[in-house]
Amino acid sequence: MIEFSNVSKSFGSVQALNQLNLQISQGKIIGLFGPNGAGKSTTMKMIAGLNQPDSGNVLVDGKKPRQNRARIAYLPEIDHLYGWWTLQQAADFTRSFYADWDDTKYQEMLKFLNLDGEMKLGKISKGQRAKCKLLLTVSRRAPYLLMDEPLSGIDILTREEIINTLIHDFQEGEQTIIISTHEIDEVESLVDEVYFIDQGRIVVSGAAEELRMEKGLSLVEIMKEAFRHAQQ
Amino acid sequence: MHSNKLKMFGQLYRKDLHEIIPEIMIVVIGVVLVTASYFLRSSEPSPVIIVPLILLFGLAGLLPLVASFKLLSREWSNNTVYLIMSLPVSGAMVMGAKMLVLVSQYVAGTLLIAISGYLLYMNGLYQYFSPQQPGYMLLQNPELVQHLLAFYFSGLVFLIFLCCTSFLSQVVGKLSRKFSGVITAGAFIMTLIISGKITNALGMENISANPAALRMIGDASSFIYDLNISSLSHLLLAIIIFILAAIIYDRKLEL
Repeated sequence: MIEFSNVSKSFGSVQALNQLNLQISQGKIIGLFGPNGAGKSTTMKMIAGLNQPDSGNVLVDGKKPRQNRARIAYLPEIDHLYGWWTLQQAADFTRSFYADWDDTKYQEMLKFLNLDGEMKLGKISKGQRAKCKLLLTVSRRAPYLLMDEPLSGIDILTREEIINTLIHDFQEGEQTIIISTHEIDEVESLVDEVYFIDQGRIVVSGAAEELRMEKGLSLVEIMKEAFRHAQQ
Repeated sequence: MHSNKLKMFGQLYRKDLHEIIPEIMIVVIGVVLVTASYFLRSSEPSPVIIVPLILLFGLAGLLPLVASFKLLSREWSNNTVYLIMSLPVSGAMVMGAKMLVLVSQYVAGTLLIAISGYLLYMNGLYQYFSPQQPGYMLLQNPELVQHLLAFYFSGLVFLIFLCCTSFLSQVVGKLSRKFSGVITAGAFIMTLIISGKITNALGMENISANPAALRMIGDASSFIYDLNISSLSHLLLAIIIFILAAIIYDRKLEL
């Protein structure tokens, strides 16, 4: 379980998280939604142990995130792999650090995503790089998979492939996937639970299906409504 | 468990080694050019050839320090720090791999120059330095070899000390989102000043600042003794600085 208790974080004069309270249960696909600058990436980085709260506590399975890095697979929005690496070199590197690396899954997903191990990461398109990053992340059987804006700047066909990969790969109950994005319509069908975040606070949360039934709206419309209220 | 840690260290080492290939190539190409120009000469050998070799030796000693700044700061400028900081390894392992790469660069570069120098010396250059004594005799002098090794290791230890200082100053600089470069430069200078004060306070001054030691240069063994003491003090300081850098990396660095 991931727990945020009264977590605040500022960067200079900008308050990224403001007394954030959050409890993410295991084995589901979670959507962390909100506009740009809402605090989604800061939340994700905090779970990955790349950021630390100014006040409050973040626990992943009862431990500080930095002590739990082996159990977390983090996919940042930016390109974080060495450009001179081939995909195979990147896979060899990742394999050495994580006991949960699954080679069979890697080979299977390599074919599924139509990628080649000899591709040089610095010389391929943005869409292909996004697929490579996704491949390296999902080839691990990590209990927590964090994906920060996985569809950002990606063309529609690649987006479909990424979403299909997640559906194809997800094993309910075993893995918790947290997807942070402001492009809700793309992942609406994928998520079990959602957290709408704005100005560092959760404004709406709940099971996706229940929210849709209760309000009679799609998740995109719920977000628009929630943020309209928050701004008033 | 240990083999896993070794494997992780090996991967980090290989990755960092790849990053400094250009610096290694500068020294290799320089040595090849100097050696080739000596052996392909049409006239009598000239002792002037030793000058570019000495300059290359200085370069081989300086480049690892330059690379120490490049190796760490590039992780931030290329965003690969997101990958490195997500790994389930400590800052000591991340920076330890970088340090070993820098030491390897120093050893490989200087060794290459030493081999080139030896080849040049044995193939005619010795007549300008010790005409009465053939080259192989010179290198069979155990005292001379011992002194050369003391100088060599003293240089290596000082480089390790400077690289540790570079790592510490960079992680301190990265604690701030603004003026990171200025803070890094300030932290580097401050660490050098504080280290100098500590060695002075402990009575282990640098040889160049020690008139007594300079007077004793005539007595080579005393000089080497002081050199070793100075190296030991720098090695101890390097270890302390490295531990500090690793603690800051593990506990304070954020993205």
